[in-house]
Amino acid sequence: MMNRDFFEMGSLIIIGAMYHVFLILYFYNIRLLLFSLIFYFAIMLIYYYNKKKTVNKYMNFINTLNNSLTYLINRDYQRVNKLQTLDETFDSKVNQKILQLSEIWQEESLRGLKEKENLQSLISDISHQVKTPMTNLRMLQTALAKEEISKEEKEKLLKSMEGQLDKISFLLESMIKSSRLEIGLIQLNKIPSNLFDTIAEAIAGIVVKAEKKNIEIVVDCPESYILPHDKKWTAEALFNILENGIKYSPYNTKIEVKVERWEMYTKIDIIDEGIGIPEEDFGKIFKRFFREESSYNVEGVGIGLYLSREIIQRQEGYIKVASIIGEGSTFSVFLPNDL
Amino acid sequence: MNILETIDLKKYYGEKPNIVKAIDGVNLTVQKGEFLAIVGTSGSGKSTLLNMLGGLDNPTSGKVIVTGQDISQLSDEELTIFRRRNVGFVFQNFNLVPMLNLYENIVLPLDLDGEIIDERYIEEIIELLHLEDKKRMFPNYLSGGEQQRGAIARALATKPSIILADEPTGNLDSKTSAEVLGLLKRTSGQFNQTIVMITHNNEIAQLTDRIVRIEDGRIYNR
Repeated sequence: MMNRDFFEMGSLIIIGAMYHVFLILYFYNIRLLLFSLIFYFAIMLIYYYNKKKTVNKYMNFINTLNNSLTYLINRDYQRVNKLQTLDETFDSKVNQKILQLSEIWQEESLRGLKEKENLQSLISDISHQVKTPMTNLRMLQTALAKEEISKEEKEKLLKSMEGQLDKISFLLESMIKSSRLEIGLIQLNKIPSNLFDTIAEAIAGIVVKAEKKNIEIVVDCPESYILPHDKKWTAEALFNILENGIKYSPYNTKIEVKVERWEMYTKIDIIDEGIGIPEEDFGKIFKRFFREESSYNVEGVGIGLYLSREIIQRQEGYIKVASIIGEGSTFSVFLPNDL
Repeated sequence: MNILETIDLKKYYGEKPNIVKAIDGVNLTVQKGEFLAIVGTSGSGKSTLLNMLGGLDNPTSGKVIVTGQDISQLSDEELTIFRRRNVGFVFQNFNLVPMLNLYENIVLPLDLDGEIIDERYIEEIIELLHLEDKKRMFPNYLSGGEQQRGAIARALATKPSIILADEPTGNLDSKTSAEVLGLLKRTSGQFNQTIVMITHNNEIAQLTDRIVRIEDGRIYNR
């Protein structure tokens, strides 16, 4: 840099000197010579200052850039956020990029933490849920331990113990399933396969329960309907929705499963004639351990629909619900037609 | 990480005693990658709120902080630059430029800021939104759903800090609405894109990660 500057200045001085030697030799006139010299030095000076100014400007820009990058490396986000980004200048554009980069960094460092938090809340939710049947069990056990207990009473107690044990094992099973899903231990395999078979598998799981309540199940789906989806887990998701439908349906009603192909999604409707869901709860029923106030007399813990939503979302699909109180609900599962 | 935060946000119109409190002390935070729905009836103040979140309007008092910058007191010129670089909009009536084909519409915000076009990313968006065959077509030849998908692609193109969607399915039939929203949700997940959507429709809102309700300019987290 120094060398090049020196060479540049040197050559300018040599050209100037040669020009003035030429003036002296051929047009000797003291006034012309003086004027020319002054003019020459003035131009040299302006040139020199301008150059210095431009260089300074660029050095400043690089310096600020260097500082901003240092803030970024030091994770001094407060300073990064203060960078000027709202001018129509090049600096401001570069600052914007630095700000974006800081965002990406912050997000990435937070992601692991978020997953951990999710898992923690899942575990604390479940352990909270397990506590109640555990306490019940303990109480039943104390009651059983008494000696002056009749045979009938004993049987009754044993029966409720069995119920509580079932509840615990169901809870633990759910916890294992959802935690595996949540930490990505389970990879869903989306492969083109027959949706009809998947629906049949889901229905097979609830047929007995449906018969007990004399609920008819109608399926409207082509017998060969190829759609990319994970067979096992999609069946689980549909099963949970169906089971939920049966739980909240009165005796002698109907549940319909209807498949419809749309432009980008395949829609699977599960239509029941149950008690219905209030509109303000539409978004909540898929939350973990959410239970409607009106449903506390029905058995359940509120993990089925949550699992269903997780499974469908992991296949880039979604679930929604529409419902009229007293007339029934329609759960719609959307799965993308493409891979 | 909070990408968006409002602190005691207020917007009043008119003067005493006929003051209209369109937004009356809203505190809202939105996380990066979150898909949030703001649900309210017409006149509840939801559009006013969205305008302030997107820097289309200045609040009477309070702060709007987007990626750490307070935008509530910026000048019009600064707001214009802010919007171009940080916010993607999806409107009810699509707002595609009729003289440009779909692809040109999608990359327009990048062209305007003289940015390099990330071809691979743009192709990914176009594929995800099923617009491969429509790229060279002009908006007038596209259906409403296709136009709205184009508008979503345009909003995504600049990788904005936040996408604001004002009744994005207001002009679509229920079937197309469901498909467009499904795709919007998918893009939010795939690109970890923060989206704030305004709607009056509970059925649509349930697709989002979180729903807040607005009534008479106040927020209810239910």
